[in-house]
Amino acid sequence: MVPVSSLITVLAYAVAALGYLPVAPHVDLAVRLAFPLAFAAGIFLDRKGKYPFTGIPSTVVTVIFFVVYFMQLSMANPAAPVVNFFVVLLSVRLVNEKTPRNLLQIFALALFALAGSSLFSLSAVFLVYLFLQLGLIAVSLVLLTFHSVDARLRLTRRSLARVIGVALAMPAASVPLLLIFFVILPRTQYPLLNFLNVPGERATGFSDRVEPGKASSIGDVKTVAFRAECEQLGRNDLYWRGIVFDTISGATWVRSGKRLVEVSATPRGKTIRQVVYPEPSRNSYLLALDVPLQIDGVRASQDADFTFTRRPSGSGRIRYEARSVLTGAIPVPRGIDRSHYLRLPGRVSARIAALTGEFTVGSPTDEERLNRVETWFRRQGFRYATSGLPVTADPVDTFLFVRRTGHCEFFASSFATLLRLAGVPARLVGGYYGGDYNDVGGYYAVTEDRAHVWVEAFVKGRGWVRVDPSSFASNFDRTTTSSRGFATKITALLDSFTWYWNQAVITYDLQKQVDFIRRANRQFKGLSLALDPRLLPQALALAAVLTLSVWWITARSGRTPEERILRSFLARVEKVYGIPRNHRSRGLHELAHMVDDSAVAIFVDIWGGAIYRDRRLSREECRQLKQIINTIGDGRRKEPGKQG
Amino acid sequence: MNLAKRAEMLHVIDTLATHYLKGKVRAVRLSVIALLSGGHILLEDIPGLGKTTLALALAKALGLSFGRVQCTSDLLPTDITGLSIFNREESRFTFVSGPIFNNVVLVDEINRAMPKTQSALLEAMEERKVTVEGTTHHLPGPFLVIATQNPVEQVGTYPLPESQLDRFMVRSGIGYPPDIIEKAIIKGGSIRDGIQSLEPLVSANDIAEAQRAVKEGVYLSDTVVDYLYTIVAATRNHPAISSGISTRGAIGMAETAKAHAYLEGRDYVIPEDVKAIAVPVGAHRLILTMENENLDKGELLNAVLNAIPVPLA
Repeated sequence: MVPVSSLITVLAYAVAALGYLPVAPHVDLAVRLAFPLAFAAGIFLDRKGKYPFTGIPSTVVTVIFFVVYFMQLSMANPAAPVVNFFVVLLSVRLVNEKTPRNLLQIFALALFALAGSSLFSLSAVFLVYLFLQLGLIAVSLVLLTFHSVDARLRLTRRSLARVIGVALAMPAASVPLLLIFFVILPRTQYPLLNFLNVPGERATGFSDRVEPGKASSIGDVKTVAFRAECEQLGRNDLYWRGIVFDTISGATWVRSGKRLVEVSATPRGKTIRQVVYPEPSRNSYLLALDVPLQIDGVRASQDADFTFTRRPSGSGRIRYEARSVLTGAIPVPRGIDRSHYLRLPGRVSARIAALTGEFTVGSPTDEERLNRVETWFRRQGFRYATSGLPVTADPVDTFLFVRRTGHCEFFASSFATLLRLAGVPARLVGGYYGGDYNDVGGYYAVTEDRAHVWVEAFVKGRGWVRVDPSSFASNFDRTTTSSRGFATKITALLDSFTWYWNQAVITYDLQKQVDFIRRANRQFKGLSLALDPRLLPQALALAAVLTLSVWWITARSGRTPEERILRSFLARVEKVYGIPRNHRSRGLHELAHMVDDSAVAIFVDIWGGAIYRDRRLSREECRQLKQIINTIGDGRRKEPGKQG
Repeated sequence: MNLAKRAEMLHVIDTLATHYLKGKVRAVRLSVIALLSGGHILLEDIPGLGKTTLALALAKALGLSFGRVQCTSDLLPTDITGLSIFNREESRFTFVSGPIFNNVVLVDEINRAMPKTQSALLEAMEERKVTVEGTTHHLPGPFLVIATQNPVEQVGTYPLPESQLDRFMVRSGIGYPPDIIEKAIIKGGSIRDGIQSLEPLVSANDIAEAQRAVKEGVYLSDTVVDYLYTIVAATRNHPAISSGISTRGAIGMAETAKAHAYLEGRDYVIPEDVKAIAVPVGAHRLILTMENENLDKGELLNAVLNAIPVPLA
């Protein structure tokens, strides 16, 4: 026959030791010595059945160590104080009585300590400790359920073996599952249940061809196309370059297969580094701020027009670093193949051709021609719209002379056509414009509906100059400013959560996590708590309201000294004898009969002598009762066998 | 604390329960509580469990006179109260008192008497006086009626209506004694002879003094009155009860709670006193609704008690 209670106690010591051993080399010397002492003292005290440190001494020790380690806590040193404190708490628990509550705390603290050890060193031994500890805790928890039903329960060796077998079956059964999930989870780049849907098939957004006039409207797709971590920039810098369209075929702009030999000089301007996390898609163009000079972290090929194409290698999530220069022009000192960029579509309507004369009269320079086209374009008062679009074979003509509304593709293709007619080499650039800056994560979230097309015109002497014809729309400002309401903030918060999740879990990578922690550390270091003095009165008022409400609640909950004494009495009886305090139809004398404790009986007599004589407790009685409450359970501890 | 004669009363209970009425401590205690609070007790149990012995022993130990009425269907009211008969020598009617003119009266199988006889008896119990042919005769004090009835028997009985049950302060069963005690009783045989030689343990004066101590010396606080009233009100509003505890019942509960507190050695009543006497004093006064007639009244009242919070402060 094995008593369950002593078995649980032995298991608790084992679990505590398993929590302590892996962290022992990393904790302070005092703590390292304290644990074995507490371990020995705990065994000794358990044998004697006396717990002299219960209550105030334990609390004082805990508070002192908490203060000490809290002071040490800093961003540079976040782990050591916490782990030290865990070990201290564990030691304190060991020298106290092994009540079910204390046992559970020992298990939890031991697990925390073991987990803390992984912050210092991560060796394979950790797994051994973890599995041992999980097994022991599982057995202990099952035994604890027996213990809570009958504290003096004894099990025969056979039934004990069965209990342990069943208890161990639980973690054992979960291990294969755990391994399967561990293998599957970090590798899935997509939600598990959606893997049948091919990612990136979207009706609208970024595409490898510009086809105005094919659809009467485009929808707002708010799904995120990519997230780019970088500093916050001005709105006019947020052109994310993806693809360059250099060829018109009919009304469609495409990227020609022909690779031009074009030697660009390095553009000058502010250099911005970005880390871009594109959502999985079939598009193989890598996006970065205009003009991207270099992309690292992914196998990519670069074209002369600063288009980066990803080499096919799986379709998982990727992440790359880009270095861009913020500039409106790409210098090409040795010039370009002008004829290629002046090629017109086969059919140009007479109305459009008639405009050409206006732009070219007097053989002006590229710059002047560009200005003339721009001036003309601005004067027309075109409107930006994403619905009610013309579906036509000649969208440029329809846009310029009939409907006068359209989206970026209409603006850009019309403008580029006009430029080519005017003799200015022009091409379209596809990508995204704008983005929602997420303050929480420090990144831009760029959604599919921000896909954009703009124009690059070649101006001799300056190179490729970026022109965004959509900005000439009469309603341009309204369509691009986004609201910054409360809902947007919530969305931003949720989005940053997704981002962190993708980073930390989905694309799990230890190196990345270490970087991640370092970065977080940097960010927290830079965090300053500058208090706005105008907020001070509000803060004070808030503090006052909080204090008042706390006072009000406490005042309401225990209005009279009698009620407070009664509460603490019932709480004490509940704690010592496990008799629930909220049994409302039970009187105090009945309670006194249930426990064999003279302190309870005396309390009840003094209490009833006042309350049931319709008088209030005297000051002396209050003092006396409070003293009695503290002695409840003393007799029980001295003679543990008395109850039986 | 002025709990006069408490020791003597406890001595009576102790002596009876340990030497004469083994295993009947609860019934003995309730009988003493009824006596101290000036009420009467109805013992409801099958024959042969010692109801008569209990009454007899109690009368002996209390040093009181004992009368016994065995009820039958032809029992007349005058068989209980007594009657005037013509005295030939003195040439006038003289009153011959019936068995009711005793301190402790055992009314055996009360439900066998005719309603007319029953009501004469119950009237005497309530009024503590008997009027025969225009003359009122006061009954001696202390006065305790111990009535018994057999709940199982149905044929040839006149069950007491609820209104008359209300006149008994306490209704209780006796129950079988614990097996060890019962074996000892079987071995030792009837103890009727032993009871005959039982010397009085207290005097009538002691009893009167104890009754006064209960009535005047035990404090009943407003808190406990509130609690008691809550119980009474709850029985009146209970869906299974068509009529709850009456005001007389509530008074009875208060009086017996005081007697209980007195025996416990307290000069104030606590809610537990009320709980202790609630079922023996209150349960038989409940009148259940038709569809709930089969419910046990004691359990029902216990359920009501368990739903009412005890005033702790």
